[in-house]
Amino acid sequence: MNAKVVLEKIEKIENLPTIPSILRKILGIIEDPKVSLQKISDFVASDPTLTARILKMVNSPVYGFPGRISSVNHAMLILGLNALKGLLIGVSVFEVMKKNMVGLWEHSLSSAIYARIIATRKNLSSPEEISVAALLHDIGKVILLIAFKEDYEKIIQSVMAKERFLHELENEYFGITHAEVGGFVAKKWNFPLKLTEPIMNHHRPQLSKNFELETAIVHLSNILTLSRGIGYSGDIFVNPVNVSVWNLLDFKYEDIKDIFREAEDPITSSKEIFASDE
Amino acid sequence: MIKISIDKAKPGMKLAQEIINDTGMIIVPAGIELTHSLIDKLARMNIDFLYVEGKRQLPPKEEVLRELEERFKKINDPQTLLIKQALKEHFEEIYK
Repeated sequence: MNAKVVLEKIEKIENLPTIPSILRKILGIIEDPKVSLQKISDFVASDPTLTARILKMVNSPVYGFPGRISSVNHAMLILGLNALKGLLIGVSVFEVMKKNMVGLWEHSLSSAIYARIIATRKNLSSPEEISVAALLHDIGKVILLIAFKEDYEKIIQSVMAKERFLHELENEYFGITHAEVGGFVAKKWNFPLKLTEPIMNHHRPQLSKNFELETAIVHLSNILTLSRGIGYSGDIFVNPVNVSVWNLLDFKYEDIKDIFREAEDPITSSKEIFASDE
Repeated sequence: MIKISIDKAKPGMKLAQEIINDTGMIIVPAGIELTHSLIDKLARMNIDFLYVEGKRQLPPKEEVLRELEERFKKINDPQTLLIKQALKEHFEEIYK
């Protein structure tokens, strides 16, 4: 296979029979570049399952907002349109993840938690947006599972025997990695570059030119999650941290330890909140 | 903090997070110690889960450290090794 064949199929992902209906419905709304905040809000409010999932997410320790957010409108005010769009995708791929790749949801949640903590330490203006980028960083894996289930499952299974990184094997088989596939769909869905670039480049952070710091944070969050051994992303081995990311973030030994320490409780409790139902 | 289902709640446990009903109202604040009558009341109000203070059981430390070594098998650069070292120390603290 080559990248062109893969992207051609993904371009028409809405038409694939394997796509969950909730995701198809959401894509219909958010792909419109002129979609208003009100329209998204009305759409979410009209679907009780979706409303419940969004509120559960924003009230979970992944975000750690003080107090309780009890309406979609309130969530939107706090998060903004971009983060909410991302979150909608995030909660709607939940079922695909659960059915096809147990552990990917946990991996994604944990990465979102590390990203929020790191972004806050770096004084970024909206840690929630970076956190959503981290939540969606492996969206390309979900897309590959929807579009090429059998091939992709074989690749994932060979990671252990070959002792390789998943993205390397993807590149050899598909001519493209899940990161680039994720970046491609994020663009197609009209996500802002602030989300698209970190998703696209989380395995090659040196390629990000506009949102270097955001990409660096998502790159490191993924590595910290792998290191801590949370969930399952298809990768078994920790990926080495990119040197330019390391220099840019400029963390010392104690900082890394503090980040592990701070993330511990939110990770454990969100794991239980999301494992219990849905 | 641990999340438990209401049938696992015991008198003497301390609430780590407030209990909220469907309309978003706080019905029991955090810090309250559970009693028999409170647990019964919560069960009648259809509260399924609550957060109490305490630590959950951890997997054996040796197993956790062995798995950590396995995950870092392909790592030999100083930056990622520093992450590994920080994580090991983090685990030591968790198991203290």
